[in-house]
Amino acid sequence: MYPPRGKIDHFIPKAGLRYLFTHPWQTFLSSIGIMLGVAVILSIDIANESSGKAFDISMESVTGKTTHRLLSRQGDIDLSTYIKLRTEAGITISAPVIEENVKILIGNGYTATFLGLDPFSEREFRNFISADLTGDNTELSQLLSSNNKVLIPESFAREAKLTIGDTLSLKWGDGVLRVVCAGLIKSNEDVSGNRIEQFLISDIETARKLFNKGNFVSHIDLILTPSEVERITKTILSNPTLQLSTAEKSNETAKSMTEAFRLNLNAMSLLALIVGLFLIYNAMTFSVVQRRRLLALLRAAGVTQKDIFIQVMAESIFIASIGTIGGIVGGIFLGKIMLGL
Amino acid sequence: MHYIEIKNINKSFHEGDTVHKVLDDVNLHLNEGELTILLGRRGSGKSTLLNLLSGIDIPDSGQIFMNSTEITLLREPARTIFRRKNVGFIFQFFNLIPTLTVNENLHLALELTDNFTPEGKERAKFLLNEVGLYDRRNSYPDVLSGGEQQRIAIARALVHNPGIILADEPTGNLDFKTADKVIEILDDLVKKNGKTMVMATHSRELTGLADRIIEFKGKSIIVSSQRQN
Ligand SMILES: Nc1ncnc2c1ncn2[C@@H]1O[C@H](COP(=O)(O)OP(=O)(O)OP(=O)(O)O)[C@@H](O)[C@H]1O
Ligand SMILES: [Mg+2]
Repeated sequence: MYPPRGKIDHFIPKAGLRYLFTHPWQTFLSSIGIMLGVAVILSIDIANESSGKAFDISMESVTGKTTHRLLSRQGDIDLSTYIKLRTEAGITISAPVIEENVKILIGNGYTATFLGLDPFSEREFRNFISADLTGDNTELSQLLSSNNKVLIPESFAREAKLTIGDTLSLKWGDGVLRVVCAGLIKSNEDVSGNRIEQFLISDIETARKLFNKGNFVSHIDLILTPSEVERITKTILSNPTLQLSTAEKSNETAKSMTEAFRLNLNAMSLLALIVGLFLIYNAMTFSVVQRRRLLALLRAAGVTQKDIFIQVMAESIFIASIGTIGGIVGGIFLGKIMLGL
Repeated sequence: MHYIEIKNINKSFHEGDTVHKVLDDVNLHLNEGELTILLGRRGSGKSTLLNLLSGIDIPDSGQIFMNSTEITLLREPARTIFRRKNVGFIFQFFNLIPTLTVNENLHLALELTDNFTPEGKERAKFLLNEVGLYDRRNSYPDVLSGGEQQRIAIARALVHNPGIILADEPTGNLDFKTADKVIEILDDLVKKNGKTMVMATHSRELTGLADRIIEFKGKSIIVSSQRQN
């Protein structure tokens, strides 16, 4: 009934545990240091990760597979250039695009990019056009060719409580345009609320009428090989008003913004790591220092340094576990809040 | 054979650049079953000597023999094990683990020395009765008075049957009346059990009980005197 026991397998752990439970505030405060440390590090990291992801995806979905973009230095580009691309440079894969900034007049208003696309040329370029269309099962071109029909992202529809058939008012310049929501774009990756801006998509004919473009478009998107670039340079670009830029270049501002934002978060993340480590170190030192007399007593009673070390470590791990679990929960929560900002 | 033998002990403390010599070439021998009192002012080195005897601290030079073991030759873990088995400690305060009950405090001392057996528990019960606090065995130390805590500390120091009891101002924290009672119990129990005891105090009141008085005078001179019966 009384087997010989090991040296400290009973009363000392009992004394330690009782200490933690009879001083819940002290235990809690020790844990809270760790909690804060873990939460700060984690939340910054979450914010960093997902904002980076959101930027990548939204840029990908607007730019698509486009490698180059043909622009005019005078603003819009004549559609005759579109014909010349085929006839003179032999480029068959090209997509004229009308791009205008509008404000959707719902609530406080949403700044959005209105994209007029040619559904036939587009399939090669952008994923989201071929993505699922909810609502009518009719052919995409039919859906869009009738007047003033637009597609909006499903996530935006949800946020603005829009359904198919609703009319949207768009502020463009001094005027207001009316369009009808004809379908929703479902993104495969749910990047919903994290998109930097909203966008509307219509058939290029619709856009041309809405924005009075006549025979002009905003730019022509291209997917080019180096030899094709050379061919275009030799033919089309003999017209000095035309300019061929790479897709990266047209996204330069957005990209540098992302970079700056990310650099910021990285710096914050490092700072958080230092602050977090400091908080954790402090919490652990505190929990040992406040029990120095108890440890001295145990040493006098003949408990070896090793056994005391094991006991202190066990208690530290216990406190650290509480702190870490709390910190992970808090960190995820904080991270979400930061992303909402 | 002397129970405790101290030969040419030196001990100094270094604080920054200053060296503070506390024990200077101390020689002593104490017999088994004797009560020795270390008498001296605050800061005279009484606690330092007790820490050397128990092996909590080590001297700069010299030898300490306890019951024919030369503890100054032992390395740290061995000294700790030696202390665990052979020494019972009573301090001025904070003797008991606050999160263990009176009984558990005694049982911890038993467990540490592999004495957590029916006989060991019986001895704990016996000692608690001897110090008159058996009915408080399930209380936590902080609800006991200072005198009661010291009586528990006495029982705790004796429960695993060590050869030597070291007491560092065990009544320094108590009023005269309570102190008298605690000393009476301590003296009685130690003598009844034939233990060797070394007790540090800065008051002369207790010298009447002692078999031997070691007075710390000035910084480092030690005068040893035998009790005259
Ligand atoms: N760990 C240490 N580091 C530095 N100095 C110390 C240390 N321990 C003791 N001393 C010094 O050694 C001297 C003797 O101290 P000690 O505690 O042995 O005295 P004491 O006689 O027990 O005094 P008291 O009656 O106050 O308990 C004191 O001057 C003290 O400051
Ligand atoms: Mg002292």
